[in-house]
Amino acid sequence: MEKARPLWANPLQFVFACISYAVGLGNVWRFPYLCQMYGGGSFLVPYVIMLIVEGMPLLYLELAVGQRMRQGSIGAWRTISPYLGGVGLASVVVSFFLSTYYNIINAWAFWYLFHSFQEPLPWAVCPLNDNRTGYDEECEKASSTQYFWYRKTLNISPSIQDSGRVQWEPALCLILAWLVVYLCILRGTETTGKLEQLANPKAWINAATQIFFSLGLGFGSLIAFASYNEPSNNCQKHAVIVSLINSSTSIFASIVTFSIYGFKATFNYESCLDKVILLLTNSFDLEDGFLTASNLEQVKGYLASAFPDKYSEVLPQMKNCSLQSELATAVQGTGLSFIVYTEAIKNMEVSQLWSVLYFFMLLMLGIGSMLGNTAAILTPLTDSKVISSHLPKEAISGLVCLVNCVIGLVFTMESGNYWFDIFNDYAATLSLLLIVLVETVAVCYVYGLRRFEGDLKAMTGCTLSWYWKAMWAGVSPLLIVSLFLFYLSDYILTGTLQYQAWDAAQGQLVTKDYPPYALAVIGLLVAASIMCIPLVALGTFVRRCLKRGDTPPVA
Amino acid sequence: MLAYAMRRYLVQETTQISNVLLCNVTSRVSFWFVVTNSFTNMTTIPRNDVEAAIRMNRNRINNAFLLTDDTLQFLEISSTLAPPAEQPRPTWLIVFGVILGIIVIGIVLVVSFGIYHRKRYKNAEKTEDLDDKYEAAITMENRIPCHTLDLKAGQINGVYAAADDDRFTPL
Repeated sequence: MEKARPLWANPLQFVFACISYAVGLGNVWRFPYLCQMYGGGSFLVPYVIMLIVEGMPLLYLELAVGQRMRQGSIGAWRTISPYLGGVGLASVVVSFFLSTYYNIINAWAFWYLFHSFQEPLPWAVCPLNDNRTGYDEECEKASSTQYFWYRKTLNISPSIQDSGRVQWEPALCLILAWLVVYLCILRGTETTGKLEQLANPKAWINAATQIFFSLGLGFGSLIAFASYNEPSNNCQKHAVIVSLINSSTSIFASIVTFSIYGFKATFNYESCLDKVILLLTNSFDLEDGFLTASNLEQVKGYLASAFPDKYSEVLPQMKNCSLQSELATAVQGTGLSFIVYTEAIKNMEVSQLWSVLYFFMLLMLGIGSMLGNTAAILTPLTDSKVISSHLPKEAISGLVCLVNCVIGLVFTMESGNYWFDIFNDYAATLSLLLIVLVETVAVCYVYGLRRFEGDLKAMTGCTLSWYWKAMWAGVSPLLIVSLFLFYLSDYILTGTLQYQAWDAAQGQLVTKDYPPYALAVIGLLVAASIMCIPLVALGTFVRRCLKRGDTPPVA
Repeated sequence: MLAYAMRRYLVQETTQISNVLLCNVTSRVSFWFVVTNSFTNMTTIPRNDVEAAIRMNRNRINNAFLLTDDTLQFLEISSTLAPPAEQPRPTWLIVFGVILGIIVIGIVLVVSFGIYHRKRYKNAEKTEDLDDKYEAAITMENRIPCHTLDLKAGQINGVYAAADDDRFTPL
């Protein structure tokens, strides 16, 4: 008696699962940064074009493959061609890397969430120094939010070489995050449906990359989700819906982020002016209230001419306050979420409420994406009869979560954030491009576009329009190849890779070179997933040759 | 104010306002001052003593002017900052504990329900398998076990035996 494959309760659940997977932290912290760097609203032009030309077709392709083959990524690609099982394996490897480091973000979000129930918020004030005569030095040089992030949350070491110990507080939060993920994946397919990544060629490349990674192509998660669909499900409609919702969420998130930037920039600019006014008033014994923001420049000019010696003494301490420079501080990634946003929140009324709401939202986004990642790993494992006959589904899920949690403890060490940046920048980027390229070529040319078209028609009943066929067969692969070549040449030309390290003495980030073993880890990360494809193909070929050699030809 | 502060510090009742000498008064309400020894009007009290006196009575001085440490500044006398509100125990651990408890209970419930569900399903499967095996062991003919057909008396058709006579139309 064959056990029926579990199905989504209704198509809406599937759509919500895809949306929750695709809409992740990248929509909140990567897209607004890209918008800011590449011309604001005009970035939307390459973004939308890439969405139509690359995002939607590839999303539809992955969903269609999953729905047609009704298996996780490894099984699906092996069905298309026995030599291509490596593609699925590469997807699983990349998903594994991703799930290892992604959940630490949820751990940090939990940490901030738990600390939001205090008055005042712990990142709003600097702690005092030892003799209680002033604030802590590191906090003074940086800001209270940066101090809380780098010292209290990460307890970051000065460089990647100084590993330090595992910090128990973030480790606890990481364990909690994994328990939450485990609880959600236990209930299987029912749970994941709930709500939540220009003339300048770089603008186009970044738009393409953003669409690519924001939709989560190539991880095998979409194939996994779609494999639980009814064969007659209209995945074309769903592909369009999911990609549109993902993009509109990104755009909405940037609107919010830009208003937060504006608020923070104005606030900081005004504080800076106040500091300069106080400094000048003290140095020149001016009357209180004499210096204001409007007459500051005039008075400065007057003081410079009237008391040149004293003015030149004071000059180095005076910061040049500029609203433009405050606005130009574009930050992405963890810096945006945990420093810039918390700085804005601490200045709002009822800051505890906003803080709780904000980190709860981050958690929802993060856990939604985590569920997709773990589904990408678990579906091939539970599909494989070897493993699922020995262990029940709960044990497999628990084992995967445990292994990932233990490896994730590396990121709770003092140098953890530097390793996190390595994984974030290199674990998924090149490998995914190659994986999706092989996927597209496999479906179009190895399996055959006409055959796939016939399958889809038999399954869903609707014909494939010429648009999808043109994209799959021609445009999207070309685009991916050019992206791949660009990134490769960029890595080669830049020479040695560098990273930003936090200098406690100066209270700011400094650039350092990666040590050789870190470079080796980067190379391993990229190679581990890419090499799966040729190695598995080779292995299958060898096995087939041996089999053909063993069995004598039938008379 | 300053005279009062010196009095308190030196435990001498003799320092008067006239012992505090001001100079360099600016329009910004800032000035230099020295405190002379009340006994010998010529010598001044050393700086450290004056500093210590001011530190001790800073609060009172501030209150007299309705000012705070931020608005009334004594140059090079850094104020002792009030410590930020210290929580008796880390609040975050409490919230963490609550959430952790909920999640663990949830996991235990879901896992045990899953195991219970699977056991029931397995039992139902087992009984079905047993039925199949039972049927396979006994030779069948038309779903009637063969050994019952060996009765010399023949097979009694249960329909007529069990039937109520009223069911059949009486002749």
